[in-house]
Amino acid sequence: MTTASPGLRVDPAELLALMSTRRVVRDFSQQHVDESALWMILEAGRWATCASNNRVHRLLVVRDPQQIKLVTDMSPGIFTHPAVMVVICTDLHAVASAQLQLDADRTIFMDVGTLMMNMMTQAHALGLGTCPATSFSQAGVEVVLGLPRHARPEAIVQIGHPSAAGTCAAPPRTRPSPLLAELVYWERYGQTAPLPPG
Amino acid sequence: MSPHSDQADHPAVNGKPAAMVGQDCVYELLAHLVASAEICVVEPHYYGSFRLLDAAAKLSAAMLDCGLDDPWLSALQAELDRSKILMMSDRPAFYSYLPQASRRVAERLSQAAGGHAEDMKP
Repeated sequence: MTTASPGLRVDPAELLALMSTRRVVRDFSQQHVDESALWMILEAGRWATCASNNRVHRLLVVRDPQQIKLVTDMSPGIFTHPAVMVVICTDLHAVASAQLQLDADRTIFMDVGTLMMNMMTQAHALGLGTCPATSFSQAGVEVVLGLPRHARPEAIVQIGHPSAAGTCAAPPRTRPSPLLAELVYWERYGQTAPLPPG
Repeated sequence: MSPHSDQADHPAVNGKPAAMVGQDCVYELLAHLVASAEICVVEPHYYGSFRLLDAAAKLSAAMLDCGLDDPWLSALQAELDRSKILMMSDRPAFYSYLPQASRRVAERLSQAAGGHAEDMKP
């Protein structure tokens, strides 16, 4: 298998296997997350594709157990207490500076997704579990985290070691799945193609 | 006035058996309910049922954690925790469970009221 870029030693099949084995983890142990691993995850987020390079999001790292409990209390979509939460906030000052239309510009939310995906993939490569959450009270989280008025929490990425019962990996998949064939149309909307042989 | 009866391990309110719940648990459940009320207006409608089942499981767990010895409630809590996540994996089964849960609780209420729940089944 050839590499995608000169100088990089990433096997494309291994990268696909990494992405296709990541699973959402909803049950974390309280085991400490190494700080160097955390920085690497945040760095991966920084490299996420971003509309017009506007960088209107800020990442708030929460590790204090009491703060994590309070955020969880206001988040019906979060079921256990992870060791780390990364709260992705839209910085309204940055939005104003970039002259974006806050609730009309879809790229603001797309960039939240790319940020989350990069971080979750990197965490998986480090053997950590993740779970994204948007099912929380924005108003409640703003209060318990003492967010300034110009910071709007959009999503929370939970990071930690899976509990004994949890798992963050699935069997690897390195070739297209039947489901992919149903999801992808070629040339015309609705026109599917058979999977390649093998 | 003490909320407890003469027997310390059998709390009572107005002469009736009471289930104790810690204050922290009450506030956590309160937070869950109001946060759910906020987010349910933007979530798919079936999430409303999920949030309420989750709240019921949390309430059950809170009562059990505070020492309530009730095998029926313990079984219900386990059942709620197991069944609520069907919302994500098997929605028809999730919908089928909702009246089952209601029936289970109604039977318990009827028994507590002195009725014969089994006789009341359709």
